[in-house]
Formats: sequence, structure tokens, C-alpha cells
Amino acid sequence: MAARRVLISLPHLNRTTFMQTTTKPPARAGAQTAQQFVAGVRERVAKIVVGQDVVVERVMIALLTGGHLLLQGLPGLAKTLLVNAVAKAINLEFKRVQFTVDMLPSDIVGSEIIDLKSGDFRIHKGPVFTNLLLADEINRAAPKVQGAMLEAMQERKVTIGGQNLKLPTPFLVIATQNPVEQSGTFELPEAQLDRFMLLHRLGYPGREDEQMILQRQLGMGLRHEGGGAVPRSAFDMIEENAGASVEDLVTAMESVQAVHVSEVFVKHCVELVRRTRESKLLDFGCSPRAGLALVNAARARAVIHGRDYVTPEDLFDLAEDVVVHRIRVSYEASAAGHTGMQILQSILANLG
Amino acid sequence: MRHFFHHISPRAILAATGCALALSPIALAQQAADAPAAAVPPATPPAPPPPDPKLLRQLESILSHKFSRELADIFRFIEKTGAADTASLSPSDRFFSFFRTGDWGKIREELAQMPPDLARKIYDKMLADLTEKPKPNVRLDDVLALTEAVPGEFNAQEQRRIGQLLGLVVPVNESYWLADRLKNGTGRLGGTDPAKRLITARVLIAGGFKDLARTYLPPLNQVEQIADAELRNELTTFLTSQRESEAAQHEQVQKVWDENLRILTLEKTGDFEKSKAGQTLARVITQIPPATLAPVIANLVKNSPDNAIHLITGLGRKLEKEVKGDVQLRTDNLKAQAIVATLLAENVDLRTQPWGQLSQMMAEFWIMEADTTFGQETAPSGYKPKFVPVEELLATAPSGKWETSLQPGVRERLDMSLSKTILTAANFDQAADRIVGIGKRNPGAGVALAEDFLSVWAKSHNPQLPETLRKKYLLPDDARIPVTPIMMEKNIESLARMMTLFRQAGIAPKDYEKVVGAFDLAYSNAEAYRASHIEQVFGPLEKMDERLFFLILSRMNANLTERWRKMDVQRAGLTRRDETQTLEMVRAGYAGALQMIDGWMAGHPDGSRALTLGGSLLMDWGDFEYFQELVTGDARKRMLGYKEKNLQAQDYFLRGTDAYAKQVPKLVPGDYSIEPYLAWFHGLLGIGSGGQLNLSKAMNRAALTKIREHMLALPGKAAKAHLGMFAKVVNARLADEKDPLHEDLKYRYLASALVITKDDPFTLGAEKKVAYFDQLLSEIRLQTRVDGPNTVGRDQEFGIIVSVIHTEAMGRVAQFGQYVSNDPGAGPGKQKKKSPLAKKMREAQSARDELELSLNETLSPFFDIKSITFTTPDVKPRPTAQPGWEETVLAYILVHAKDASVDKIPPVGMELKFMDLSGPVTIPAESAETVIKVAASNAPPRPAPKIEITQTLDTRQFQINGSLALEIKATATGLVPELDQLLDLGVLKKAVAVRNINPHEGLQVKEINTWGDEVAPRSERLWTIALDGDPIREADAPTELQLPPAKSKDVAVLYQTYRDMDLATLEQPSVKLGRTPTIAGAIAKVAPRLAPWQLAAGGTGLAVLIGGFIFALAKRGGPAKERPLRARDVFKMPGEVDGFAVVALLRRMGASPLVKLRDKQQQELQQDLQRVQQACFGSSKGVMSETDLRSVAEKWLRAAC
Repeated sequence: MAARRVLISLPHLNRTTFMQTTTKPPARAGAQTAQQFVAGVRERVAKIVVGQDVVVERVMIALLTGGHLLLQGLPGLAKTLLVNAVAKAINLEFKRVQFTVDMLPSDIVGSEIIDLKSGDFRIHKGPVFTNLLLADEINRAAPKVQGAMLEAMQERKVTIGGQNLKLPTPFLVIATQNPVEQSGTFELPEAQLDRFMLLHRLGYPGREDEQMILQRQLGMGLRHEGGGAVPRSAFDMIEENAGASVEDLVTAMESVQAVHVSEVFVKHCVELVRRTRESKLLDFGCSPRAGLALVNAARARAVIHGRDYVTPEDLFDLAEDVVVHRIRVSYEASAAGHTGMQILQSILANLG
Repeated sequence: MRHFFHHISPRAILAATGCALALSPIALAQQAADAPAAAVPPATPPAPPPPDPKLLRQLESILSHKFSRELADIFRFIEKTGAADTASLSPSDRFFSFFRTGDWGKIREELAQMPPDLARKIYDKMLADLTEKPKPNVRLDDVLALTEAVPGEFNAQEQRRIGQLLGLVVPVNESYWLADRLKNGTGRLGGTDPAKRLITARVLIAGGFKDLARTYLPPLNQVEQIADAELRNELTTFLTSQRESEAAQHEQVQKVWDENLRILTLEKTGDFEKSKAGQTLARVITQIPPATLAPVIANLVKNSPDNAIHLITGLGRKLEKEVKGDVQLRTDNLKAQAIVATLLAENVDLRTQPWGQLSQMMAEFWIMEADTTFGQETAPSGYKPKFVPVEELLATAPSGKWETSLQPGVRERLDMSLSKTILTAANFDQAADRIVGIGKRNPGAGVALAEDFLSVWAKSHNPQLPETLRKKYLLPDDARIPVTPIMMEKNIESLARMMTLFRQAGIAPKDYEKVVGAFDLAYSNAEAYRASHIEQVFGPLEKMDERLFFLILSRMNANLTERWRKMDVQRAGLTRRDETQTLEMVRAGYAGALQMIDGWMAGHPDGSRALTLGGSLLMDWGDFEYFQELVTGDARKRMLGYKEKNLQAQDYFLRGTDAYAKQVPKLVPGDYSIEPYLAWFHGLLGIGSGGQLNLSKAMNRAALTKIREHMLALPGKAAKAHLGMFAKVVNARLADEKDPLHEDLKYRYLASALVITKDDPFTLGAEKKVAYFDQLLSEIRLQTRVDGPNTVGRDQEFGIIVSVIHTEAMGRVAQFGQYVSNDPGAGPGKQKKKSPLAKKMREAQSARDELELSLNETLSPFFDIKSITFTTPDVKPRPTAQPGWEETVLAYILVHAKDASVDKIPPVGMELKFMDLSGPVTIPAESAETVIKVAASNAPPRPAPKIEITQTLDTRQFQINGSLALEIKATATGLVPELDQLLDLGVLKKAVAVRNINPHEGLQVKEINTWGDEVAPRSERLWTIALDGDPIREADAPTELQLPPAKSKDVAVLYQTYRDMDLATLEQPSVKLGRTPTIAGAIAKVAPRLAPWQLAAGGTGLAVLIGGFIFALAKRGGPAKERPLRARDVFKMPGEVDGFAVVALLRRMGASPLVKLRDKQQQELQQDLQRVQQACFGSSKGVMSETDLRSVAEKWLRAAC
């Protein structure tokens, strides 16, 4: 009965695929390659970014599962540097868009422009045409721009001048947003937040990490350009030659697909999602997309940790990033001092 | 390497190239005398010794290579030789190296060192190879340098080859480059040496430069005496063929000329034929070279002056007929006319008749075309017929003797037209100089031209994109190029330079509209004028013409109101100003305008107009400070700015009227102006100088009376005359049906005008209208009263009822429901869209919002307003004690006094909307003050005749965490009193401790009951009393909890509690709680419904919650006797035992500080954790059974607890 419920709750997985996934023997060789790939990327990133291991892991999870990642945190936490370093490490095309309030959808997806020489219209592709797009401060853009961006994320194609254009593969958006209480921001609607596989909240680095950041900076020296010179930044330290390739990434993605997901794990994922819907403290709980994200992210995390099966640890570790942005605390609960995180912890405590 | 020497003397060269040509001795002597020291080829080195055979073979190998200067060959060669020194290369490679790098001097040296035969062979091959290709990739200077490298004599074949090469390198139509080089002469060609000139001619003929070749040849008779037969024949043939060709052309032209001239001279020929003949002649004139035409005209004038006259009149007819024709035709006509007139001027005295007359007429034609071109070029927009281009006009303008022969009047007009034409070509400096010149002769013409100058200048500096471009690229109508600050500075500098020039010449433009228009265009659309720029262009303020000064200020005022403050204008102007910066710029603009006024006043102390304008500017500025949408700052600061500017404006208006009053005795009645008074009046009403309305201004009777007093203080009859004029203007404004007064302004406008005019007969209509409005108001009275006694407590909440007392008839007419609805359709008639210029301090959208804002603004200084509750739009009037009068309740305001000093409810205003014959009108109504008393001590409760209380004891969390909550909900007709006035809480507190009382939102007015005996609100209050249930829960015996009874027996109380999650009514106001299964609690009955795993989960959750609760208590310094939490309180066997539950349990135990495990145990725990994970989640088949899992869980629960 439980298995049946799983299949009903996960509409994108038909019975056949589910069975194939659960019965397929683990691809150990592939997993080892994936682990090497992940370790390689982490090593390169670690040379540039101090600390932030969890964020790097989340970025890798997003990469390996083709999901999108939303990073929430204050400026100056090396978000751009981190994403840049990851992109360079895998030889992915990387673009960064700073969202502003006066931005138009065409600034993201592109537009048709008239060629003054020929008089014909030609398509100017926007920055969304890339492998890894860093959408900086997405909540600064007006809702219509956010809508266009999120539509591109969902459909993985855009329409310009009546022409459908596919986005490159892989296509991954890593968006950042300021805490919404900051002025001049537009809160992302829940339906759109749901499209982000993970929302990770960044904190400040620890004392030792911060000390390390400063010490690294001390040894960077100057970059000479033309006749002048500028102090080198961490961006200058990013190695230009990629350590891994897109093919390596695809191999790692394949090994994620081979990770075993036990029935009991799926059952508890579903239970978690359902409990968010049933909670009286929440206006609404998670969509089925949350369950999918949880399972997929858990598989990727398992690969990153060198396992070919998922464990409850994966669920507990990822639940906050997968669930909290998909639920809304009711007004009464909020007034009583409950937060989404507390409610999730309570659900998790009762889950086991 | 050995060197070869080969000596060739200059004389030998001369002999070889035909200097021994048998020219006539005189000519030769003459040419020799004229010739400067001929450019002699550089001396060649002495003859070399005999060649080394090996070296000779290497040099001969050069002949086996192709001389190519194609880029691919050059690159290949460079790759081959690399960076090696040329000295280290083989002789052939070295030679090719020089060839390919174009080092012709070295080539000459190399050739000179070779055996002569070999050198010539190589040189000839080089020329042959180069001329073989259509693009030999050499330049003119390369060819000339190559000519200098000839080894030995420069023979005929080489001369032709060089010519051919020049023909390949220099296009015939660009032969001036070649002519330029040859003019000064080179070693072998050009210059003045006759022998070299002949060689040059041959070279040029071979290259196809026939015209240029002719300039290097002597006359045919001299050529025929050249000794060298080959050269003689060649040159003779060339000259003869040229002459024949010219003769044939001349003959042809002559034939056409004669025939058409004959047609023109025939008396019986019709105009059509004459015109046709003229057309043909005009074509001939424009197509043949002037050199050919000149003798014909000269001959014609000399031998047949009548025919010459016919020619000119024929041409004139043609011009007249085709004056509206095709542009090309007209351009050709002007060209023909210019050629004929110029040639004529060479042959006759144009000041004599009939030539003088013809010359004038031809000049008139040109002037006509020039004026057409200028008119069309400077036309602002619309259809433009085609006109002769400016450059063609300038090329065909009368000049030289033709121009000087013209009569003074025509010359002046020609000057004007020519200046305009130059101006049209946007050559402003040249045009300005001419204009100044003309201005010196005729200042009037100078001024007119200076004004034209400004038109053209403005047009050429207009950033607005032309319509054609806008249509082509589908751009909006207002598309314009941005004027950057640098462009702006340049524009101002250019305009200022020209204006200074004109001012100094005394021809400054008088059309100030044009001047200011040009200045405005020079400026960026988004930049406020700067005083420095104004002075730069228009000169010092004190010397500025009054009309110009006010025009600039008016333009500034309009731009300040409509343009500079707009962010879309700023964005379009690419200024990158943010809203704060734009705000500052506009402020600087206003300040600058006022500074200009103050500066002006220093030189014009009686200038009432400037002061009035200053007042209007300040009023606008004040409105801008409050209403500006750029930066929404603190409303109080904005209000301060608004008031400050309004006060300053009053001062300016006052000074303006005083200054005007001083002028009045000097004025005749026809010159009287009410502008100073009217501007003041408009300022008081909030009518901005740009037509924008500030509807927030109340009537300022004191200021209005001051206006009246100032008018009355005017001397003699002037006072009455001015009052009459003012009344007329007011009447005219009222009668303006096209632009009727705004409905919110109408009443105020009329009433304010009447304060000034009082009993003036012209304002009788206005007086009647105001009387009508006042009559309306006499049947309506706005009222505020306190709900209940007028004495209220210091912190007590009480209600203020806002209502309208009105006659029954007025109740039907006025439809008071519209004031409590935001539905635009609720009012009388269709809601008119508000003018975008009309603004109010209260930015309300609709009637109810407006009333709410008005109430808030009026009452908030005295009361803290808790809520304003409006009646429904279908509210019915209530009868009053006064027969025929009714009361319509509009709102109930829940307030409490800010402090004990509050002693009244201030007058409340609202705007009542009516219709009169001129459309909607808004009349302000105001309530009377209501006296209240704020008691220092607590006042008795507000009247609440019917109170109902529902008490609900929530026991649902009691067994989980000991939490007990008593929810008390009270509703009343009237205002619900405080909790301690309602219930006896002491009864409750005896049984259980009260943790806190949450009053939630406090008193809430839900609706207004207007249909009962009294107007009363339906109010509601909610309290939640958190009780400490722990002692009851921990007690061994059940505890009876007594719920609080009502203090008054008139209060109805309902007691409830939960049974099985359902609400149940209690028959007695008490509940038994505790450990007995029979105790009225929910948990025992709920438990069986839960699945085992849910129960277990609940248990775990409970444990966590208890932990959290204890922690929270500890943090806030809770009960000191709290039992410490133990592992067994927290960790229980999961309800449903599966891999997930066990892993979760072990994981939590491993991390919990409550669980004390030794290191070895910790390791074992981790191993078990791994084992369970591997077994339950791994893909291997070794799944653990539930029994296995349970035993693992039990093992660790035992170890931990």
C-alpha cells in the first residue's frame, strides 16, 4: 500500500522507471568516477573559496541533478566567486546577471533587434543562454522579470519573437537573494520559489575561516596590467584551465541516477511532505515537487559522500533547504512566534 | 663580393632620350635659359672590374624568377629569408629582397653594379612583369623611383612601359597626383627641361593621360621638327588626333549653337520653339568646357550682339518657365545662367544697357531660387517641395564682375540671400561674418538676418529626430537624441559667440521667441537653465530687455512645472540623475529663477511684474515641495517647505501689488492691469501658473481681504476700475464652458472672489450662486457626538459618532451613502475622471477614503484613533426630535484621548458633492465643536446594554505539555468593558496560576447599529488566559477548575471545553482535570485513534517539545524546582519500527547531551547505525527484520536511559 502511495505521489515516475531505479545494480565504477569528479571540483574550489563547504555541496547537488539553486544571504559571502570557481573547474560557460528593479524580461532572455544594415530583424540572445547562470539578487527584479527567468528555468527554452530557442545543456541557475526585509526587493512568490530545487541560507564564515580569508588575501600581491597594477583578488586566483569536463559531469550525473533509494526512504519523504500539508501551523505545505527534489538531492548527496544508496542522514541534512521555502507559516502561528524552520524540525522529530 | 662600375654621363642620357631632337634653335635656347638647373640623375659609381663567373651565374638566375609584388609572394619571401641581414643573402635573394620591400634606391645600386647588358635585361623584365598584372601592387612613388633606377639610357620601350605602369597605378581622373609630382620634376621626368618634358609626354601618352601629356608638349610645328623620327611621328600623331577630335566637337557644338541661336532670332518663332531652343543652348553651355565656350560667346557678343541678347533672353524664358520644374532642370539652368553671365561680364560692360538689365534679371532669378531654398530648408515641418541644393546655389551665385555690375538694391538683396544660403549650409561662422557685414550697411537687414540665423541654428541643433527617421524606425513621436552636458556646453558656447557678435554689431535679434527657443534647444531637455548660461547668451541681466527677461523666466517656469522634474525626461536625457538629484536640480532651478528676479529688481525697483511672477513661482515651488513625486520624504518636512514657500510667495505678491500701486497714477485707464491681484488670488486658491491645481487650500479670508484692501487703496477711480476688472475676469472664468472650473474648486473660487469684490455688480451672478450653495448647506449639518456620556476616562476607549443632520428632502437629494462607499457609481451622475493636474494634500482615491483621511487628519492631533467604522452605503436616515429633520450616521470612530488636556472634539470637515447648472460642485461642510471632559481617574464603563460572553477552556495540549488556555470572547451592543470589569477572575486564580493574559486586538467595533433606539456599535473583545496546568497534571488526584463567573447578572455567559477535539458546552462553570481516566480530558479518548507509529512519533515529539519548554523556562528564569530532563523522558521506542525510525533514534541519541556513552559505546553505536543504514537503505539484500531493528533500538535505549 505504501509503495502504491509513493507512485501516486510522484507523478513523474511511472512504475517501470521506479522499479528500474530500485533494482538496478549500483554502478560502482561510475560512482568512483563521480566521486573523483566531485572531489576534484571541491579541491579546486577550496583553493579559491575558504570554508562554505556546505554551499559547495549544494552547488554540486544542483549540478548533478539539474536542479536550480537559490542562495539567500547578505552580500560579500563569496557567492559569485564560488559559482565562478565551480564553472571554471568544469569548463562550463558562465554568465552573471545583476538583477535590478528597472530590468526588463528581454534583458534576460534576449530580444529581436533590427539590423540597421540589412533592415531585417535578428535575434539577440540574452545572458540566459549559458550553462551556469548566476542570477544575482533575483529579488531586486520586478515580478515580470522574475517570471521570465523562472519560466526559462522551468521550460529550459525561451521564446524570442515567436521563435522557440532551447537553452544550452546543462543549464543551471544559481540565484542569490537578499533577505526580503531589505528595502527595494520583491519577494519571490511561493509558486516560483517552488521551482528552485534548493534554497540555501548562507551564514558568515567561522572565525578560523575568516582568518584564513584575510591571510590568503595578504599573499596575493599585485596584478600588473599595461603600465599599472591592481591588487589581485580571489577572482585572479581561479585557474583558467578546467580540471574536469562536461563529459565528466554527465558521467557523474549518470551515477546519481544509479543511486539506490529504498522504499522506506521514499515512504518517509512522502510522509514528511504530507505532514507539511496537514500541519495546522502552515497555510500550505509542500508540493509534490518537494518530494521529487528531496529524493533527487538525497541521491546526489549520497554520491558526493561516496555512497550508492541514500540514508536518513541525507533527508535530515537536506530537508531545510528543500522544504522551508516551499511552506508558508500561517498568520496565527507566525504571531505565536513559530517559524518555518521550527515547524520543520518538529515534523522531522516526529518523523522518525 | 666584387663590384661592377658602369658610368653613364648626363649628356649621354640627353642624347639617348632625344635631347638631340631638332628643335628650333631659338626655342631650344629659350627653353634652356628658362630651365633651372636640371635635375640630373645621381652620379653612378665607377665601372666595376670583370665579373666573377659564379657570381654572374647567380645574378643571371634573377632572370629566371618572376618579379611579383603580390602580398602572398612578399610573405613567402619574408618567411624564406627570415630576419637574416640582407648582406648575408645570395645576390639574387638580396635583389628580390630590395624589390619586394620597395627599396628602389638599392635596386638602382645593384643594377649599376651589374654588367650593363644583364642589368638592362633584369630591369626590362622587371617592368614587363609588373605591367603584366592589372594590379601590380606598386604606388605612384614606387613607379617614379623605379624610373630613376634605369641602368643606362632610358629607351623608348622603357618609357612606354613606365607609362603603362603609371596608367595601371593612377586612375585618369586622379591624374592631379601625377601632375603634382611631375610639376617639380624627378630625375628622369617632368620639370622644365625640354628633353625631359618630351620624355614625360611620351610616358603620359602611353599611360593614357592625354590632357596632362598635352601640357608637356610644344606646339605641333615644333614637334614636327624633332629629329628622332620615331618620337616625332608618335607625338605628331597624338597631337593631330587630338586636334581633330576637338575640331569635330567644336564643329558639332557650333552647329547646334548656330541652329538654336537662329531659332531664337527668328521673329516669327513661337515661344515654345524659343524655349526649346533655349533649352538646347543651356544644355550645350553646361556640357562643353568653358574654354571652348568662351571664344564662341566672345565672338557672338562682338560680332552679333543681337544674337547674344537673344541667347540670354531665350535662356531667361527657359528659367522663368521652369521655375517650378524639376530640381535638376533648375540647377542646370542656374549653371548655364552663371556661365553665360560670367562670360558676358568678360566681354561687355554689364553696367551699360541692355546688358545691365539682363544681368539684374539673371541675379533676380538666382535670388528667387535662393529664397525658395532657404524658406524650405528652415520650414519647421510638413510637405517640402524640392529645392535647389545649397551647394549648387553657392556655386552659381553672382560673383566677380557680374556681382559688381549689379545695382545697389539688387546687390543688397543678393547679399541677404547669399547670407541665408551660406547659413542654410550650416556654415554659421561664415554666415555670421556676412550678416555682421550686411548689418553694418543696413541694420534692419542685419537684424532680420540675425533672426534667420537663429532659426537655422535652432533647426540644426534641434535634438528631435526628423519625422522621416521616426517613421522609418517606428520611433515614438517625441524621439530625440540626448544632449549630453558636453554637447550642451558646446551649443551654449556657439550660440553665445554668435549672439555676442550680433549684439556688438547692434543687430541682436528682436524676435525673442526665436532667441529663447534657440536657447532652449541648445539645452538638454532634462537640465534646468543656469543663470551663468543665460548671461553668457543674452548678456548681463541688468541690460536685458524686459520682454526677453520675462520670456526666459516664463519658459523656465513652464519647464520647471512640466519638464525638468519628470523622471522619464531625465531618463530620456541620459542624465543618470536619481530622484533625489532631480529634486535638487529642480530646487536649484526655482532658486535660480528667483535669484534672477531679485537681480532684476535691483535694476528695476518698480517692477511689479517680476515680483508677481516671483510670487507665482514660489507658490509652484511650495506645491512641488509637498506634492513632488520624486522623493517621498517625511510629510512634516514637506509641509514645512510648503508653508515656507507659501509665506514667501505672499511677501512677493504683496510687494508686487505695492509696486504696481506706485505705477497706477502714471497709467491711463486703458493700461490698468489686474495681473498682480489675479496672480495673488490664484496663488491663494492653489491655481498654479502652469494650470495645475492644488485642491487642498482652504479659503484664506485674511489674505483675500488684503487683496481687496490693496485694490481699494488705489488712487481715485482706479480702485473701482480695478475691482470691476477683477469681477469681470471672475465672471468670465465662471462662464467658460469649454474649460469649466474643477468641481472641487468651484465653490471656493466663487466664495473667495466675493470676499474681494463684495457688492460689485459684475459679480452678482457669482453672489447668487454662492447664496444658492449656502442655502443648500443650511439644510445640512455635519455633527459629531460622543457615544455615551461626554466624560471619558484618561485611558478609556470611547466612540465618536459622525453623522449628517439634514432635512428629509435633502436626505433624498444628497444620497449620503456615497460618502461611505468607495464605489464611484454611488454618487450622483457619472464620476468624472479627475484632472491629472489636480492634486490634494490628502491623496484619497474615492469618497469614503477622502472622508476617512479628513477624519484622521482632524482628530489625530487630539485622539489616538483605534478604528473608524463606516455604515453601509444603504444606510437609512433616522428620525430626529426635530420634525422634518433626519440623521444619517456615517461613521463610528473608536478613540481614546491623547492626554487629559483634550477638552473637545474639533470641527470635522467633509466635502459635500452637489450638482448645479454648470455641473458638479463640491461644497465644504464643517461640524461644530463638541465639548468633552477627560476624567483623571477611571471613568465608569461606556454604555453596553447587552453583553454576551463565551468562555472556552482548551485542554487539548494539557496532557502533552500541561498547557491550559481559557479563551474569553465578549460581544456587546455598545463597547465591551475591560475583562476585570466583566468577570471575577479571582475564582479562577484560586485553582490555577495565570501565566499571562493575551488581550489580542483589544476592542473591535464590528458594525454600527443605526436602526435601534440608539445608535450603537456592535463590539467584540477576545482574551486568552494562559494557565499553568503542570501542578494539576502532576497532582495525584484530579483538580476541579472553577471558571470565572460574570460580575453582573445582566451578562450572559456560556462555558465550553473540548471533548475528543469537539467543543462541548459545560453545564456547570467548572472542569475536573488530572490523572483520573474519568477526568474530562481529551487525550485518553483520542489516543486509541492514533496509529502506533503516530503515537510513538507523538511521544518523541512530545519529548522534544518538553525539552524545548524546559529550556525556554530555564532561559527566562522559570520555576527553579523544575525536574531536570532525562534521556528516558526524551528517547522512546518508535511506534512504527523501521529502518528510518531506528536510524533517526540512534542518530539523535548519538548527538544528544542527555545520553552519556563511553567512547567504545559511541563507536559501537556508529557501527550499529552504519549496519542498519546499510541493511535498510543499501541495495544489498541483507534487509534487517523488524525484530532485529527493535532489538537494536532496545539495546541503545537501555544503554542511554
